[in-house]
Amino acid sequence: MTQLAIIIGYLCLLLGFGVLAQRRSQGTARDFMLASHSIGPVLLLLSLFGTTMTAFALVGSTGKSFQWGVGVYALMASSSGVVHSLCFFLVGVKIWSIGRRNGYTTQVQYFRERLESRNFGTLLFVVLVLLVIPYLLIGILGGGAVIHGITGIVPTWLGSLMICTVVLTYVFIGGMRGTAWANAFQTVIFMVLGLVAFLVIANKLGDGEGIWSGLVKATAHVQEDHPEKLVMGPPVFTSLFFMSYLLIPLSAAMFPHIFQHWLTARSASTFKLPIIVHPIFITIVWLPCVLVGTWATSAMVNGEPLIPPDLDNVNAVLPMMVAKLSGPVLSGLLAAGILAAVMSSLDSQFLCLGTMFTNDIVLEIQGRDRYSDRQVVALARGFIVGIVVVTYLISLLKPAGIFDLAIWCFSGFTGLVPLVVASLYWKRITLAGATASVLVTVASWIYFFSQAGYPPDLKYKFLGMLPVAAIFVLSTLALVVVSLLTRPPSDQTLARFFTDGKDRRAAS
Amino acid sequence: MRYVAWTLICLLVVLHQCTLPWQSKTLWLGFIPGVLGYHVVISLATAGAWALVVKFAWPADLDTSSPGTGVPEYVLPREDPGEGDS
Repeated sequence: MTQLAIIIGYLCLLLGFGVLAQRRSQGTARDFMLASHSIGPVLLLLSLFGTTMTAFALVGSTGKSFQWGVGVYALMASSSGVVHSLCFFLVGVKIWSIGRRNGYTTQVQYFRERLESRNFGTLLFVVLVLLVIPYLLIGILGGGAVIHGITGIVPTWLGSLMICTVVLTYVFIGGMRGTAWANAFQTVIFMVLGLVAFLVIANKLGDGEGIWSGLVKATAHVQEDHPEKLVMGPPVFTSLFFMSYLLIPLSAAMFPHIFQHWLTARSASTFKLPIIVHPIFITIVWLPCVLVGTWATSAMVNGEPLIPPDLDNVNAVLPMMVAKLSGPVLSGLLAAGILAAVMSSLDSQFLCLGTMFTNDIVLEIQGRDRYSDRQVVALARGFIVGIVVVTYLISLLKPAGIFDLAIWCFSGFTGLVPLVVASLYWKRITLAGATASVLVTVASWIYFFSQAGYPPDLKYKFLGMLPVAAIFVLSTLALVVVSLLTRPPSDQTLARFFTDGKDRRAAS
Repeated sequence: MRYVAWTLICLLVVLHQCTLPWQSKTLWLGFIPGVLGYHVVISLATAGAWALVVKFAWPADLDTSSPGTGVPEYVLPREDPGEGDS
């Protein structure tokens, strides 16, 4: 009960952020969706990091390390340090500049104008929503698993429902400003409490001889029982398979919620801090999680394995380690920390879905003068609730491993990355090329997913690599070949998107 | 320096793919497996390399529009539609 009380207290605290942000709100749709472009470097760093680090980073990484060992850090964390910052630098900053100049709120608006097609925007909207649903699923499954694992009395379905309700409420009350604040707060919380959890677990595994002794002993146990978890190699890790993982973090360049966060930045320079510090933050979160997951393979309490070696639901590894190795107060706090990571992504995704639906579908089709600001916000909220209900219902079906589900979800987004890169740096991209790229991504993703089966796992490889490699190559080929075969975009459009500094100053 | 900075980023990607430390039996600080320690160093070095890129290869003409002075957001209802937009 203590754990549950702490979790509920934390959730109430988050609602307070929504109320505070509402008081600071300017009451306009622009403030609700983009916080009036007022986000500075620290807040941008924390909100971008909090948004990219989902249940995948904590619950998923620990579970996958339980299965595959420390190589999981190399698969996702060190590569993300390079690739995420690359996305922020090459795509984010440029998108901010163009978005600011032309007043964009969402990805779909940008692509509609860049490719001079309303229908392309609608196609992209549908694809993005379909890809965001499994991403939401990761958070909802992770939140439910944590609350169930820590409290032991709240069923997973109820835990997931609690998470959805709280995040929906503070997003609805506080909009983007509330989301950015809650994101930043939760990022600090999950980083600090994550480190505390790591040290507490290490201390317990050291049989009371101190933290350092615990760190050494925990790894020594793995060395004795499962030495294969401390190295990398076949059958799990092969060179090609490992290389193909580099493409997964690229997906951040096409996440619609990250796109929207980029647009909240106060200036281009605001991006400098996130670009530099993001890799360090990734280390702070992933290193403890990967170690804890690896230790879980060999940790014993009273002669019994702490985690059953044949555990099916690897999502439960982190909550079980926390629950079994810390007292009720601490495990309640640590649960709050894990939930913070989960919710700091869900909130941005919820808000982004609502923004895209109102701006890119309703206002685009019905006309922009038909609705008041208040009605626009109400429409956004209605759509968000609909998507969350659908996702929640899916989460009640057979659960999948969070890590595996995330990799499949990110693979779809990675297939769309050639599109955004070409739109920013290649004048020759055409509507037909972009459409071919999106359709090829969808078709190839569906094909590979159907081949892999459900629940999805990562044993399925294509030519020795993750299917994302084939999806990415096919998508790029379709984009380039079809673009070269079709008529280039108009000079007028190119002038809007490929301006020099003088043009930009004139526009402002 | 901008080329040095970008070369460093490329070098880190190559080092990330290096398989030599994969089977390392060394334990850093007595508890961090060799391959994990190697990749943690890559993560930290990445931050340094990005600091160099930001310092020496930052696009010069991006901050010319000050906050709130961009083209009106035509996308939002009941605001000036498209004025000043070419």
